[in-house]
Amino acid sequence: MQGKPTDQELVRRTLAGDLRSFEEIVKRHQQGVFGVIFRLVKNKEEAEDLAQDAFIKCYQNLEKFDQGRPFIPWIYRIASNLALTRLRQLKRRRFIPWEQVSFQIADQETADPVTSLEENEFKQEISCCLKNLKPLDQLVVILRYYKELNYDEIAYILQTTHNNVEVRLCRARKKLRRIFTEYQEVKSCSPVGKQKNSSIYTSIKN
Amino acid sequence: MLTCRETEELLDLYLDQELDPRKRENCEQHLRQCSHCRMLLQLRKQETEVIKNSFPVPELTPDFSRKVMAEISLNNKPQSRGILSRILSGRRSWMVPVIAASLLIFVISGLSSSDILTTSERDGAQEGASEIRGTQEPYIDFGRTEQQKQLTPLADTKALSNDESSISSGEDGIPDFTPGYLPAGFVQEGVSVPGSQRGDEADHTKQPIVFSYHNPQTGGYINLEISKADSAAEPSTGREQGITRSAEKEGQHYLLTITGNIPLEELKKVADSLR
Repeated sequence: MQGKPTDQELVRRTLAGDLRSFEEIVKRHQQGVFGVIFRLVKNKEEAEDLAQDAFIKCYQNLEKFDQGRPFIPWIYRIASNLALTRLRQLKRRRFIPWEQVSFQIADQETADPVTSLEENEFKQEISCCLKNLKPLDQLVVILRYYKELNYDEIAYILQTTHNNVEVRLCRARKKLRRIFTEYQEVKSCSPVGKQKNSSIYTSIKN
Repeated sequence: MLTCRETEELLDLYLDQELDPRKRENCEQHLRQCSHCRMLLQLRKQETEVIKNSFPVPELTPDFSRKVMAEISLNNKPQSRGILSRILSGRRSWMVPVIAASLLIFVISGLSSSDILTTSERDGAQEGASEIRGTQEPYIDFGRTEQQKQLTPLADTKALSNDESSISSGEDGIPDFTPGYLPAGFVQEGVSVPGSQRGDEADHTKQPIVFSYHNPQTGGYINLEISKADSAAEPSTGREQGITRSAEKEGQHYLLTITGNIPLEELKKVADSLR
């Protein structure tokens, strides 16, 4: 039985001159690469351009890829480097194209629209908190939570140590946890307590 | 046995599966006995789920991969990325004006001191240029425009635009052998005279002409080599490197060799469609 070719197999075929194999690599990983970049730069057009650059750079450097290692951390490393470089350029120009991430607010199907709004507000707070982390800490959170990579893989992408990843993740979690704890308190408190403690609740009522 | 505080500190690593086996076992032992820490673990799991769902990513545009592949096919062939392209796109872009200025000086000084282009000839530079090529270089017209003829002597492979998909017969007597069939996605890439050099004294009409077709999406290529034969050659149907056909037009015998990196059946179809 013939299964799907592995990434390494596709790389081998590409290096042998089969461009269709590289197209398969692109299709296989485009959304993942785009996701990492988008969560860092928060702008769709910018993220698409950078994702395109990442695959082109990947193709140009394919011979350097160690086929004994997994492909995903390698392509994420290229993508992350490009995105971080772009963020540094934008920071120098004092311009960060923050695109408000759209959430589906108060879905018609939801039984309790107020709860849905609360959740969306909360999600926005989480994403704002992510935005305010240092870019490398953001990247660690993205790779751990959204890509479910292990610490060694993240360390490889960031070109740092296992311990450094652990420290960065711990720091980021503390900040995120503050918001999360507040949300849990709001949920468990009475309506009066909600009004007192929750900016989320206040914004909904207004 | 771990305390609650110690266990709490290990919970993130426990969920991330980053604990060594001994610590993991200790942690699990505590969790089995402590409902408070189990609740905390549950809370951390919830937290993870919420974070995962809190930052949606839009879908990529549907033709993303096509755009990447087009870019790679057109501009990023590793072989074609030469020194000039690296200078133009890389950190040494400051060299661009320097190179441009040097070229300008070179061209101006070349034109002013040239014996070929005298002042009177500069008025009719096009005719003059044609004369020079006519005497010094093998030059074959394959349906290119007058401007292209002046700019591209046929010593190396030259890319043609996609709309020039058919090739008309040339002045050197090579008739039209345009294939009636090309696999999907293939476009004519160029035409070349293998081994020809500037000032080559050899009879260029005897040299084979190679027409190249290329599929930018797949990297596939087909080469059609046409050479004059002294007499009717034996056609073969399956040489290792391709397919050979013999043809006769206007009393002249030709040997047509079709090679490429596509399946043999496809090559045969191309060979059979040669007009």
